Amino acid sequence: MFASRYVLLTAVLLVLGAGCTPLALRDTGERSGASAPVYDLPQDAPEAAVEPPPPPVREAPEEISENRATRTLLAQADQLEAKGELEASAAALERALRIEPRNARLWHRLAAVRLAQGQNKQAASFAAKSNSLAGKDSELITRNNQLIREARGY
Amino acid sequence: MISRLRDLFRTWYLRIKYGDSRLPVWARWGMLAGALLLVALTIYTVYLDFIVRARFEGVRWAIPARVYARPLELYPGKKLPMGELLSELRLLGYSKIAQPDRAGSYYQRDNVVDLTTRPFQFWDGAEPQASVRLSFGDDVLEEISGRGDGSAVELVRLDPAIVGSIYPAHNEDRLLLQLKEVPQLLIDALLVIEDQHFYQHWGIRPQSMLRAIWTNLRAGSAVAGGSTLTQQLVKNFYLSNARTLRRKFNEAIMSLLVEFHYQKDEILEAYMNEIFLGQDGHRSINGFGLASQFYFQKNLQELQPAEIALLVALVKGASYYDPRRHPDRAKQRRDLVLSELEKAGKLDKEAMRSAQRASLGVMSTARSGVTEFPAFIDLVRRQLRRDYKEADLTSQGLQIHTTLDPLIQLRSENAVADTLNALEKQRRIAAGKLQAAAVVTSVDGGELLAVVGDRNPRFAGFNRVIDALRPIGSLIKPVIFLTALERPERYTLATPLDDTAFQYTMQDGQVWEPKNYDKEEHGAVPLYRALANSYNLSTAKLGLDLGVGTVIDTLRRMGIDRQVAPYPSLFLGAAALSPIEVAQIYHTFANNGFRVDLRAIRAVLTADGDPVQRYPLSMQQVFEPGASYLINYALQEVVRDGTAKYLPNIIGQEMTVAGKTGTSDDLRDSWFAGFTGDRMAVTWVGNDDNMPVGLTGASGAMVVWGHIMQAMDTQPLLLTPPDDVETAWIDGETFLRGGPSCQQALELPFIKGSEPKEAAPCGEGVLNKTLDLFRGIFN
Repeated sequence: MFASRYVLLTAVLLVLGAGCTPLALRDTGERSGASAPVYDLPQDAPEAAVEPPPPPVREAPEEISENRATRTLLAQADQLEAKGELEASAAALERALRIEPRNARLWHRLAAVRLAQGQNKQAASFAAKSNSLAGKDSELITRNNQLIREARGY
Repeated sequence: MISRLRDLFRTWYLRIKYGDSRLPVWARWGMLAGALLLVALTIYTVYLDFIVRARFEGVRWAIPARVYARPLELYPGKKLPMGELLSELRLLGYSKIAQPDRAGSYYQRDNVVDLTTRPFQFWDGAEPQASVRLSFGDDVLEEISGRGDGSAVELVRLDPAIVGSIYPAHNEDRLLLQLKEVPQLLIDALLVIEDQHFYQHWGIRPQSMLRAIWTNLRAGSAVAGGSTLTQQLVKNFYLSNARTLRRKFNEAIMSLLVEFHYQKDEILEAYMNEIFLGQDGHRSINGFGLASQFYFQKNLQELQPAEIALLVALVKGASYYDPRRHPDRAKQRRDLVLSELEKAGKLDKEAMRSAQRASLGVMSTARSGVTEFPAFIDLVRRQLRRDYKEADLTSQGLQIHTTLDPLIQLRSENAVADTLNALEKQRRIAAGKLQAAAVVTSVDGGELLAVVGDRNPRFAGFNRVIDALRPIGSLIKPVIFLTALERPERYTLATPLDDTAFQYTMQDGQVWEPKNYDKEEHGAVPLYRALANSYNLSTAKLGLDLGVGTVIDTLRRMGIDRQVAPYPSLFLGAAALSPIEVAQIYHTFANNGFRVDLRAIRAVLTADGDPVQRYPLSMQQVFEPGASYLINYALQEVVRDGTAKYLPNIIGQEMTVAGKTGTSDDLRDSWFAGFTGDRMAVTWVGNDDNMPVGLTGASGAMVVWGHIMQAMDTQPLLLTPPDDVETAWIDGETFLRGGPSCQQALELPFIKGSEPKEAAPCGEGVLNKTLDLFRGIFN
């Protein structure tokens, strides 16, 4: 039957037409990976390496703050630091600083994390900031000054 | 492929011409024409196919970046009046129900709030859903306990409020959903009402189309739809709404193509994200995720049957059934959807009845999209542009976590509007004439908490916070005085400055002859009083002594990159800066000489909640603690007994602050900048056309500033002197070393060793001489 041939032709043409355009649906998960934009992440460039520092004095959360929420975040920061997740640790400390912005020991803690990350300029700044809030706490001031010396490489 | 086609054609051509002699020639040529038509049709189909796929792949995912406010942190002991928590919950669209067990609900009775939070993905990880009981004392959140076991909870973070989006030019908006996030009832309702055979048909249902045509013919106009979900989706790919035959034909073919390319669930997911469900000004509301926010300010998963039914009702005609403008129509259609659901067995009778009794539950004003805080969003957008491509911002659905505190923002807006209204009344200025800008930051973190760019803060026009460049008047003076105080061997707070008229001939021969605001000369005044009273003559002389370049250098260190003209007029504030730049300067004072580049953004996440980038706190010490302390002491003196001494009447005597008034020539600009212990704010009042407003810094901007600070919870400023600062008594007449016995004695801080050595006649006189005598004897 010639009529069936026309049907065949239509089908062939349709298949050919569609065949030129490959199936290309990706699911959501794939998509975010496949077409994720390229971002230039500005980062604090690590500065010149310094002498291996003496083991830092790590205060327990209870010594740093009276505030239970701050302590929770400090414990979190400690855990993250122990796992080597330093930026996340810094983020937890920043969160704690929003709760207690005038806590000199918190600022010192953040300085220590930045130093461990090799962000020496920031480390020295935060230690100086800690000093500016330390009042008469000479023990903390000594530790801050030591950290600043380390950060500056002398 | 081309050659295969050619062979095919040749074969057929030969057959038509020579073969099949049973047919007449015209029939053979007719067949050829038919074949060619088919080819043309195929090419057209390929073209449509291209459009379909482009739309399906492209537009489906173009989502504007979503901007979030700071999340509210809850912990025992936090200073937080219960009313503030309730405002935040309203902002977040939490529903008040007696058993607040589902995410995004709360119940308040007396001083206790029961609450179930929404889980949320932050930069630092997932904040799980928490069901807690909050007990409030006077302005303090006293206790948090788990509602399950009553255990003490230390810290809960609420989900952040959405405060805006970053749109591309065409203003389409959606909140991307995956099918698995869509409540089953919504899918059921959609299929029952719009397309019962969705999972069976091939994209079109000829029976329904024919029935629709028949109905329409009988009615004389197009009343019935008969479109499948696939057809509706395809229809939504077009921007216009024309109902032509050609369009119908195109839609049918495109529907078949969509079904050919994609799975049913993918089509349904695309439909859920694409369908038009409302209009908000220039912005179209696409998809159920955004519609849920737009109408109910809730996540889709939180919707109740009545609300789901209303959204499905809107599919038929989002403007005809607009629940805000036509609530009766909307309710009727919603109830119809509910009873259809019951008939189909997707909802039991009891649930249907109670849903039909429910009110529409639509938020009176849309909160989610076009931002209420255009000035802040504008700032965020500009900060993001440094690091991201515009196309990524408007299409990748990035989540932008910002520092905005919506409660402080709303209060600052009110303070600006109320004060301007009062000033206009009081000073007989035409109502609505004055304009204003305000910036509020945190002190230690340098976070932008609130930004007001217009007295009508919803108006997304000229953003004065960034774009209004106005002479800053006396706001420049502390920069000069700080430059001086950095040189303790030459200047202390007690150094007498010469406040007498003078002429200064500049390099181009022009003569500069500054005047005091009160047109008087004040003779010798101690440095800190010259600042407190904002004397021009002594300041100008001090500036000339230090040099224009030195002062500009101080500005640079504070983070001001803008070029300022290096003329002596700089000393009296001829330089024009924007409020945000002034905020940068005063933040460095507030932060004791540590410069923080003011931040509006904390972190950026992908649409799926994966961290992309964090904007960490970073600071740099640009001034010594001693000099910073001295300048802040002097800025406190401005409020204690200087040009801003009226301020405590607004904010209360116990709220100690430091600040400075600023007024430009002919009273065109009124400025105030200052800080408490934890908040810094800058305010500006003026006219857009730069005409005089007749307000000094103290009578205009300072009043706005006072009302902003008064409206928020803030700590008094308590300066702690650094190690190298000590206080000494000074004789107020000679500015030499005095003692409490001097008649005009005053105690001032000095950097160690910089206090005046020479004793005033009245001073420590008697006692000291005696002591010296003893020392002499014993040495």
